[in-house]
Amino acid sequence: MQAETLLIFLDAIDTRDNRYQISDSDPPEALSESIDEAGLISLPWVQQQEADKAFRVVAGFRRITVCRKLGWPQVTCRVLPAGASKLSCWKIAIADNAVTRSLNLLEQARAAAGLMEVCDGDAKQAAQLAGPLGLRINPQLIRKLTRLLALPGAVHQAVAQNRMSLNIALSLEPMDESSAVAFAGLCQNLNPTVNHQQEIFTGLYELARLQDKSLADVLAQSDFSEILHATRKDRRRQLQVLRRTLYNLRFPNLSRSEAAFEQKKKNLRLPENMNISAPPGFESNVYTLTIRFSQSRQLCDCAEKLAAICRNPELEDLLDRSFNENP
Amino acid sequence: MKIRKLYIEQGAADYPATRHICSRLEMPGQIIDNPESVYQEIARSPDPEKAGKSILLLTRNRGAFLRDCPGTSYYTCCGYQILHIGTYCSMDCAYCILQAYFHPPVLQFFVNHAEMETSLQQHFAKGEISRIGTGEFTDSLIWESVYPLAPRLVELFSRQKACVLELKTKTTAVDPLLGLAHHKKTIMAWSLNTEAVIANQERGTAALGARLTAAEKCQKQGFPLAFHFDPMILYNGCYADYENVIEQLFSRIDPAGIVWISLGSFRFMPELKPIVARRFAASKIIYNEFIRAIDGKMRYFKPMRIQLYSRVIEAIKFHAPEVLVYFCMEDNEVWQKCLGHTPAEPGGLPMMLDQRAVQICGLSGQFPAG
Repeated sequence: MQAETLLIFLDAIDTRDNRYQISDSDPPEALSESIDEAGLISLPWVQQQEADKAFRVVAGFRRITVCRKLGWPQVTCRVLPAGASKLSCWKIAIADNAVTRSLNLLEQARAAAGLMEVCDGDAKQAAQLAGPLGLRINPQLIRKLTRLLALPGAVHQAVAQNRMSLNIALSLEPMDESSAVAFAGLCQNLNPTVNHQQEIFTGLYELARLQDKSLADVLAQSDFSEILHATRKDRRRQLQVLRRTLYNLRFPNLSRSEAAFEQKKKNLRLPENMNISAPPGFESNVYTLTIRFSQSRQLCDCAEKLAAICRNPELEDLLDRSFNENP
Repeated sequence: MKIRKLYIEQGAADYPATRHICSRLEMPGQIIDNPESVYQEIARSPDPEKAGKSILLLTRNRGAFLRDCPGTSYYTCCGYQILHIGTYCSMDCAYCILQAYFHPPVLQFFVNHAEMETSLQQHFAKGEISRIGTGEFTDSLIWESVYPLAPRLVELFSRQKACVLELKTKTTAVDPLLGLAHHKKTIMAWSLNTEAVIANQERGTAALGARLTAAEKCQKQGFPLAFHFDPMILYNGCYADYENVIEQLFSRIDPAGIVWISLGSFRFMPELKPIVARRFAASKIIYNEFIRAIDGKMRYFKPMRIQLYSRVIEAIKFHAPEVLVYFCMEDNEVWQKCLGHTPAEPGGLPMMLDQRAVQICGLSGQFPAG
C-alpha cells in the first residue's frame, strides 16, 4: 500500500470519524508513559480525505489521543491517499492492532464487522482475510462476534473485560435492554466463572419466565438486590449467596426438602468420617452411606458408631419420606 | 394432515397403499433411492420439527412391525406392544417427545401392509393375551385422511380373540370405524388434557369437547374405551382444571365401558427442552420444578407428581370407583402413595391390564409367561 510519511497538525485529524477504530477508546496508562518517554515508535495511520477536510484515522486512535493529552501540536503519520480502498484500510487497521497484541473479544468483533462489510457478509472470505492479518478467527466465530456489536455497551464492556463469555452475551440478544444491562452489571460485580454465568443466567431467565417478569425486574427483587448491593464486598460470598438464593427460588419444593434433610442429618450427629446422602432429587428411596477410613481399627470403630446410629430414632426421621405427600 | 411434499422410497412405489395415497393427495410423489436426502432436507430447514410435519415419506418398514414399548428401567411400564405403522405426527404439541426422539422427525407411513398383516397373524396364532397399540410413535388416527388403515386393523383384530388393539388419538376421525363389527377387540382411546393445555400446548388437535363427542359415538357403537391423562402438566389452577375434565368425561361416558385410565406427568429427555424453547416461545411448561430422574429424563419433583395424581385419582374414583387407573412410567412409591398398592404380583402391571382386557374386551387365550 502506497503511503507517505508526513508531519501533520493534530488539529487536522478527526478522531470523531471512528469507522476503522478497533481498540477501546481509553488508552492504557503504560502507552502514555511510553510515548512521553520514548516518543512515537509506531506511527499512526491516517487517510487523506478530500481537500480542506481533516484526516481520518485508520490505525492509532489511542496514540493520537495520548499525543493530544501530552500537548503535542503535530505528529508524524503514515498517510494513505483518499482513494485507498476500504479493504486496504481495514487490513491496515487490523494488522496494526492484531500483530502487536492480542485483541479482546470486543475488538475482535469490531475487526470482524469491518471485514464482513468489505466481504459483503461472506464470513468464510472474511476469515481468510483475517488470518494473515494476525487475527485467527473462523467463520462461525465471525458471525457470533458481529452479533455482539448489536448488544448494549454494558455488555460490550463485560465481554471486553472477560467478565462475561461471548455465548452468554449472545443469550442476552432476545432480552430487553435493561435486562441485558442488569445481567452485565451482575457479571461485572461478581465476576462469576463461565459455568456460574450459565447457571445464573439460566436460573434468572427461567424464573423471569415463570413470574412473567423481565430479567431486570427479577434482579431488582429484594432477594437479589440486597445481595448485589451489599455494603461489605466479598465477591465469592456474594456469588455463593446469590446462587443459593436463586436455586431456592427456582426450585422451592426441592430446596425445602434438601434443607429439611440436612437439618435432620445434623440431628443424627454423624461422626466426621461418615456421611449419608439423599438420593438425587429424592427420586428413588435409596440413600447412600459413606465411611472414610484408613485403618481396620477405624473401620471397627465406625461399625460400633454405626450400630448406635441405627438404633437412633432420628435415623427413621431422616429416612421418612412423608414429605412426598405434602410438598 | 397438510402435506406439502410427498416422497416415495423407490421400493415402496408399487404398493397399493402408495397408489391410494398419491391419488388421495392428488400430488405427484417424488421417487427417491435413499431417504437420506429427505432427512437432510428436513434437517437443513430452520424449523426441522415443523418441516417434518408437512413432508410425507412413503416407505417400507424393514424392521419389526411389532415391538415392545420402549419403557425405561426403574419405572413400571405397562408392557404393551407397538404396532409400528409410521412415525411422527401432523399435530403439533409443545411437549411431544417425538420432536426429539427422531433425528430428524419426519412423517413416515409404512406401506408394506401385507407384511404387517403377516406379522399380526403370526402373533395372533400364538394365542397369547396381548395389548397392541399404534399410538406410540405417531397418533393412531391422523393417517385416516390419506389412507384407511384403522378400519382394516379393526377388522383384523375382530377376527381373533387373544389380542386387543388400542387406537390412541387426539383427533375425532372415528366415523369410518363406527359401523364396523369390532367384537370389542379394539379399544378406542383418547389422550385427554385440560382445556388450557389443549389451547396453549397442543396445536392442531381436537378440542376436549370434540374428543369426548367422538368417544361418546364410539361407546354407542359398543367400542371399549380408554383415556390417557398424559402428560399431565402442572400450572396455576391445574388441579381444578383436571377435575373439570374428569367431570366432563363422566358426564358423557359410562364408566362401565372404560377399560382403563392411565396417568402420567410431563417428562422429557433433556434434548427436548431447547426444542420447546425455540418452537413454543410462549410455553412455560419446561420451566417448572424438574429433577433429572433415574432414567435420565426430566420429571416433576416427586412430591408434586404425587399431589397432582392424588387429586386426579380422587376425582376419578368419585365418579367411577370401579375403573382401573394405572400410571405410565412411575415407581412403586408413587403407586403406593397414590393408589394404596403397587402393581400386583405376579405379572405386575402388564398382568393387571391383560386381566382387565380379558374382562372388558372378552379376550381369551394364554397369559404371557413371566
